[in-house]
Amino acid sequence: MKKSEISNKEKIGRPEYVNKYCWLVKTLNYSSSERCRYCDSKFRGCLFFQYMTISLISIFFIFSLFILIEGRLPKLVVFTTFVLVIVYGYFFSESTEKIIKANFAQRTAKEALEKLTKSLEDQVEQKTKDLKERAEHLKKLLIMRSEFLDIASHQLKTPVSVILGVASMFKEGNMDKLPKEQQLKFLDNIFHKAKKLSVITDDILRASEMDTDGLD
Amino acid sequence: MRQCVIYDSSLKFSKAVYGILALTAFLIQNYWLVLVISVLMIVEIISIKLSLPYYLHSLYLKKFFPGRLRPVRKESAELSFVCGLAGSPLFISFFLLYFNKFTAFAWGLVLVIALLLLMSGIVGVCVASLTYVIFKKIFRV
Repeated sequence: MKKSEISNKEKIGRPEYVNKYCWLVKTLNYSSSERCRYCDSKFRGCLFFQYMTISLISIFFIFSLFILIEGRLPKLVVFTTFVLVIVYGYFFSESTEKIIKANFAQRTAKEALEKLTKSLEDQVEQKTKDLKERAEHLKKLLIMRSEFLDIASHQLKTPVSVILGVASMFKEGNMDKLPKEQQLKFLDNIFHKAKKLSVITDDILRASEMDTDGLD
Repeated sequence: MRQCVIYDSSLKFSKAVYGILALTAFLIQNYWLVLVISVLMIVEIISIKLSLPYYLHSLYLKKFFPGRLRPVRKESAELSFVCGLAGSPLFISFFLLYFNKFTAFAWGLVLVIALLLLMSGIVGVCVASLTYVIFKKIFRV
């Protein structure tokens, strides 16, 4: 037997479903009627079996009573009893089948809801995990940025103070007293410091770009 | 066991028709009608395809019950057993009535069969099917 056939036999509601708790269905190896497809109770709990037993006992009791009292069985009694049993049975069958199907539908809906809840819980758990990871990453980035800014501000301060110092010397006219070679040396120093400043600025810009990428 | 696919509602209709006929036979005390029913049922032992009420329902009356005609799986042996179990007591009843022996018993038998057929046809509770399963379980067929 194929694996799919076995699983269909275990799935309640399927046409191939076999109720393993009911000895009648288990012996037949198929659902004896449509309502048995939605049932998973034992045979002794079968409402139709109970109806059949009670009806047969009641009919036997009524007929025996009439034969004992009247000495005969009037046709009207037979007809009335039959009509009552069958009409009651018909409505009993209709309503019980509806109840069995409604129970099945309720259970299916409950199972689907449980499945959905489980799936939502899993999704929430996964999203929380992702968010935690992102928050951790962001925290690391913020620490790195703060460290970088500390270093950068220190690195920036040195060339800027040199440039400012030399520029103020030029402004105040102190440079005029120095020989030409010394003045050129100072200008060369300003040039180098400005170059270093440009390199540091580029580094900051690159770091800023990396930071933005990391956040995305 | 060989299985076949049949219309459950058509099968129930056929049993209900036989049940009503058997009850009518009892009420009008007509043993020829008992013979007709028993012959029709005994013929069905060979195959359900030979059942007139079944075909009447599945071919023509199904138009009136479009949503309710669903095919179900049944063992051919179960169908034959049910027909045999219902048909043979009716046949015996006819012989008893024809030869005027144990007439009260014979009509009682017709009455019981009519009730069981009506229960099977209208309510969907078949004593003969239950008996078949019991035999199947006992003899492990």
